[in-house]
Amino acid sequence: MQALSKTFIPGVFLKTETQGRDSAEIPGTFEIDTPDGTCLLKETTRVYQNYLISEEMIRERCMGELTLVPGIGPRRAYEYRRKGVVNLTDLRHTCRRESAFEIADVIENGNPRDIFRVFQEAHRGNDPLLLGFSHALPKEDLLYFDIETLGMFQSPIILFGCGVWKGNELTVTQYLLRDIEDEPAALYLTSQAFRKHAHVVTYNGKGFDVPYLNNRLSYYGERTVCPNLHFDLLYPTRRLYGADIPDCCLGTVEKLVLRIPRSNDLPGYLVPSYYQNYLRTRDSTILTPIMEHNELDVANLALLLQTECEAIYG
Amino acid sequence: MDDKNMYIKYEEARDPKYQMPTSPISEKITRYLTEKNIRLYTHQAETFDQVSTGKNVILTTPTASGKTLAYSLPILERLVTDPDATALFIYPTKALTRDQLLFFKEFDSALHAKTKPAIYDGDTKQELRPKIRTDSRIILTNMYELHHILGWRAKWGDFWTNLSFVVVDEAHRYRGIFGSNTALLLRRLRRICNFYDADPQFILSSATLGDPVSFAETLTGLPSVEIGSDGSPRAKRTFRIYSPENKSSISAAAELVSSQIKEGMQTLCFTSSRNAAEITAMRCREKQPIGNIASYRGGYRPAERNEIESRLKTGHVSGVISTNALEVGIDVGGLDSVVISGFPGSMISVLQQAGRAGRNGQDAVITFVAGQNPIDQYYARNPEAFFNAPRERAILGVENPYILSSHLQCAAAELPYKPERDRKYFGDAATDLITALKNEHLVASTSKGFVYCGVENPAQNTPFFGIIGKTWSVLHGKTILETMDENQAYREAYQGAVIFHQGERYRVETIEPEPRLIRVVKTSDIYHTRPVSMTEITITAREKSRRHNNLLVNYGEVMVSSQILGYSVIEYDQVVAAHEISVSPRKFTTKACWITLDEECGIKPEAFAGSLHGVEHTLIAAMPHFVLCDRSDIGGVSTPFHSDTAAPTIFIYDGVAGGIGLAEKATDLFPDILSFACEIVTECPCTNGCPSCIHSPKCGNNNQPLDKAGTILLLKHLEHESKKPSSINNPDVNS
Repeated sequence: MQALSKTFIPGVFLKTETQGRDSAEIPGTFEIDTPDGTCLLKETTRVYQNYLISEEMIRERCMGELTLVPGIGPRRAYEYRRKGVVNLTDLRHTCRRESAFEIADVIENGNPRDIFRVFQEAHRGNDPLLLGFSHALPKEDLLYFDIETLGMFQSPIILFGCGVWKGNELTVTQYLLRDIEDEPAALYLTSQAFRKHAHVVTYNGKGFDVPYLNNRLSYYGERTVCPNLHFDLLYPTRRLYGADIPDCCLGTVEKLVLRIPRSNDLPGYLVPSYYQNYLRTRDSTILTPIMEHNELDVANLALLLQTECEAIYG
Repeated sequence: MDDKNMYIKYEEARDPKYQMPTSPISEKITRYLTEKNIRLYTHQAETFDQVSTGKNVILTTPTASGKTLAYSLPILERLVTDPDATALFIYPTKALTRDQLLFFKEFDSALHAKTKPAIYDGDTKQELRPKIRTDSRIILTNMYELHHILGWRAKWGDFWTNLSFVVVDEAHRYRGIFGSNTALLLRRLRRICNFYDADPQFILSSATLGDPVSFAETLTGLPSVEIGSDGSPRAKRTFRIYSPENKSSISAAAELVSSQIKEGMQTLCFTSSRNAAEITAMRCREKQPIGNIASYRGGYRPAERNEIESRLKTGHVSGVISTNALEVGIDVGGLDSVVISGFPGSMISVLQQAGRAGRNGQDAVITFVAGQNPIDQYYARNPEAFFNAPRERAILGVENPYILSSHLQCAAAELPYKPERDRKYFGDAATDLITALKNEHLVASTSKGFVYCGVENPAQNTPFFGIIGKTWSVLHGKTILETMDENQAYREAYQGAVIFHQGERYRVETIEPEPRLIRVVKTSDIYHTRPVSMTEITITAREKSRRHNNLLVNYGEVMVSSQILGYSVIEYDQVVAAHEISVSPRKFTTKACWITLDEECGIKPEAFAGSLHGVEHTLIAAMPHFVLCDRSDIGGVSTPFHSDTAAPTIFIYDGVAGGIGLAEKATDLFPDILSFACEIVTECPCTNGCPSCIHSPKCGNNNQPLDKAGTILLLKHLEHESKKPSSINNPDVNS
């Protein structure tokens, strides 16, 4: 188990935005207008510790990844290391020098997207090392994202959670549907968020959240989103902690890795039936646990990302 | 083989009729035809012309008449001249799809058409899917896959935008309940395409049907043109109808196949059931060297089926005994002899099975071996009727509320449902249904239309396309022998049942419902088993009555409850034992037609139940002749006293929840069905009833009780009533 940094402190809760027209139904939310209709919005802000990683350090670490070169697997890399090969440039005396140089050039001079591509071609597209870029690039470019849906496929998204930085403050903005009628508006606002923030951070978002969002956008005939870099924490989490924890559900990871268990949290699989119940009864108190669950999902993404980066880069 | 029992008819060889299309053909295609020395037959040229002028077409020329070339030519013509155009080809089986892919790949490469033909179905690997969606302009798939991909608009949008053609092969299969589901699925497809401003032409390739244009228009929702006049050559064929005496049709077929193989003929024998295929193959093997005979069924593993298909094509197996699984157009080459053991349920199937005979223009022989059941024996006694049978119509409807409701949910989940726009696909009944769905919180009314807001994936809740995925696996040790669908598993794989696989017998030991596994052990016992089941029926609502002169036929909603009570153990065609088992009943609501009897017609009380039962059997036997459906699509119950009618009653019901218009059609055609049933029984020379007239091979009560004389009296009485003008005193009954 990777040791947690001693300077680690969970985000300190700051405030909930409430402007003017407070929706009396659901505390903390207000109605927002968009060209595609209206929906409800809630903002929650937390302050976190500052944490940066220098891009130089990331690139330097990547240089040491011999297995990025086609033809070099873990065993060969081990043998090379035994012979004193430390990084890609040391391969200049081998038959693989050409591809090694190409890759080294990208790592030294290329933009992060190209470095991601190099890792992808080596079937290491979800390597924990790449996480470092999330704390090297401007934090304002990151969008932390998690959704709650009414089903597993072809059902509306009922709640969108979007987290963005301003300095050391992470504001989680949630778009909630009072009615299925509100979905286009919430989709509009979420698309805006994707366009304003180039990179996205999720937990299993590559497999679920982002494709699901794009499906809903297509459903209404809208353009889909295409994030630049996608930091999906599920895979690095598996890589780093998979052997030590019973499963990689976010709740388990929060409890055992981040040491911040949730109390009275609504399990994700209950969200659809809760929301259906709300649609039938219009009892808005049902929505509170859904909102809280989602808000924590997004906020803890920031924590988890930072924790894992610290585990790798110190 | 006794020649006295054979009726022989010769079909002379026929020369090909050629024609040039009048629509312009591009240079690439012309060059291809010249290089391959292909001259187009009349129907191929006609198809080219009709499709090139934008028509929707249904091709009904027989098997092996070159239908694939007929529809591919105009499609490739367009795909070659328009580099964006795409085409979707839908096949009923994976085996056929694989076979057709070879054709398209060869065609594409010869034309340099750059269409990148590819299969996209449940077996397609995940990594390959994105590339196929973006690069392939010819995609081969099946209805089940289509049903699921319509929901992935983000990924398929470009393909739909450019979709110019949809080909439905073996279209006649889409009839009855399955057909209705397919018709709605195709409407959902058209709706999505229209949303992307595409309007693909539909080309159906079908076996010969009665009223094909009406069928095509119901299946697709679009006006269609028929091309049925066959210009392809035909070798000389000898058609024989053989009715064996003193032996079962299985033994007779096995003997026939064995003797033909000895004469050096490569023979394909079709049987009417899975068990028959296995048992016939076993009998053949008793006289043949090992490896010369293979059995073939849809439930075998794909690798096994592939092997048999190619051995058939290369001539490495002399005889294959198959269910109708091999009827479908997979290229297995032509055969010297086709034996049809038992009427396959429809003339369409007979023609398709017969169509397998004929190799390289050599003479071929087709033998129909009549089984011991009413229809087979009717044809054996009336061979001319066999050759002049009227073309059967395929029946399907798009208004069954159960099915429509499922498809509407799918449609609302694919694209917000707007009644004004979508009425043209689903009709006005759909608008009422959408409101009902809204009240159940399955769809929500929004400014964009009705949006699906259920919790489950609607595609998985649709009958046939959703449920069809629930297959059971038959496990022997660690090997999966074969697969079965839910119905088959319930009927044939109960505890203690004996099932066959390639000549080996296995007994069902345990059934595990959750992983859907049937565990079997090998057995060398010589018996086989047949389930004994009981079916009860209650009337929930009488909806209408149709008066045919003095005969009143009722129609309405019923609740059917079936239960397997036990099974009979059968050795050498004799029942030697019976066992009880305890299985929970299966219940469903459906539609039925029923008639009651208000007098005993001179039948003794102890024979009455047997007479009613006999009438029920013969009505069910006669009905497919007029209402195209699978035997498994309908069921029947008869009783001397029914609590709902307080009278002797016979019910015929639709075998799937909600009903699909079969009983409804029967209500209108009842007099015709009655006459045919009457003919079947009165013309049978036996005295006390036999498998030739009133016995049903699928009777869950072991054909007990049955009384032939009483059946005849009842049928005659009913037929008489249906022709006698009603007396003035009878009240006119309206629905």
